[in-house]
Amino acid sequence: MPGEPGLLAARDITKSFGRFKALRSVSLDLAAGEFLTIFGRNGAGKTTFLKIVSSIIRTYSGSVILFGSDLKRADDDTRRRIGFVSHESLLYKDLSVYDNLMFYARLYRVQSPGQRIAEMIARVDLEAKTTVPVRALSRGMRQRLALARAFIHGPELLLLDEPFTGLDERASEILDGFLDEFVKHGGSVVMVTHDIDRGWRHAHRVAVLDRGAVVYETPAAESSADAFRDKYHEILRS
Amino acid sequence: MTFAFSGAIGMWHAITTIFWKDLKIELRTKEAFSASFVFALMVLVIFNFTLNLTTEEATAMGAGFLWIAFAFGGVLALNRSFALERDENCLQGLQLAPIDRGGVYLGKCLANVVFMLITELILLPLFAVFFNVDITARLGYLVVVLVLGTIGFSAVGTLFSAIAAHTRMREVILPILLLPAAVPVLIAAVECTTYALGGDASPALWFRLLVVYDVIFLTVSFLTFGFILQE
Repeated sequence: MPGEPGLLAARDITKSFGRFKALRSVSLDLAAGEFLTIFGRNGAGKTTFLKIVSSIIRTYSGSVILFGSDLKRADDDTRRRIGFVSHESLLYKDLSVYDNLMFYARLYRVQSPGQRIAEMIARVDLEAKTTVPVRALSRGMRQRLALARAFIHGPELLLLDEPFTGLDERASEILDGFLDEFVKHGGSVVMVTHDIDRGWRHAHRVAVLDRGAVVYETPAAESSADAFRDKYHEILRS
Repeated sequence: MTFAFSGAIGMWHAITTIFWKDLKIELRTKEAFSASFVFALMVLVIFNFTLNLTTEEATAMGAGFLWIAFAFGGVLALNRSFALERDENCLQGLQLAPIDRGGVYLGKCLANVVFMLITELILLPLFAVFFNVDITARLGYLVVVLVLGTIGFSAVGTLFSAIAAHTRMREVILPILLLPAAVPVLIAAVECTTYALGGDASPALWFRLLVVYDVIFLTVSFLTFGFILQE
């Protein structure tokens, strides 16, 4: 249940790009099975935080303990336990639906990849498009396939960077379904977004990043979407 | 010992996975091959028709024309190498993957070597016809030189292609970075190829330079690729 000891513990994370400080002493925790939504305006440092947690960015000050190990010394097994969804699909346009999933299944060393791929293709409702190159898919279909890509290796921690951006109704429903089921089965999620309705829907806890710092944090159960919306707009005006 | 063995298996897995992905994309699009082949062929055709060399002159100078064609064609193929990782931010997919980033480099490099070698092996007989040069004089040696020269060019080219992918003027940046750095391997390859086409001067020193260049650039690129892939 949410609240159990830390799956992720970020302490005093500071990251600069040249003179620009993207993150200033950010400390955030995530318990196993918890869904944390981080809100913030564009340029607040949300994506930078996710890139650090996913080890895309490896130079920063502070520490991140993930699955019990220091992320700076994390091995491949730690990264294998992470799934990442962003508004970009991370798919190769010239490869077919099947070949894209096979590539990622091989990268993550998925057992019985053929069977897992068939299962994921069925879940995102793309059975009729298995051999079609990604460039021939609609935007919504690509986003559904991107979900299948992110879940192909059965991650324990899901990092979502504005995942609903550009999704059509069907893809949004599928993503909501994925997230509900993922959390129900004990998965942990960090989602960054500025869409309050979508972000609040699944959250156990919410935080607000502003100008690289955490300025507000509260359990979702202790507030409501409307109360949080007021608070959030107040922060943005300040 | 076990750790080193499993590390090597993991590395091999990463290399083959990246290689097969690039190969599959190339087989579907043929973009790298068609661009580099047509460009390299045009270079040879222009040299042939403008210089009108005798067989002796062609034997002495042909290796230079051949490697100019290979290098310019190769730049186009190398540019394509990381261009396909920029679409839909696929590079991030590789950054996230639980594989050694050195394995990503070696997989991309292997794919580039194979694509360039296929182009070169098709161009070689055409070069022989255009310039009336006997490429069978020391054919085995010629093939070894082509392989070593291509490995050296791709080793440094794959690294610079990844660097250029992070810049705005990537198509321009790659040749500016690559061609000066590849001068030693190109000179050594030209000298060795001249010998393979029937030249007299022993290229033993140049051959050693080719091997040393390959080893140094493969090693340095492998070790530094993780930093280059980082944001």
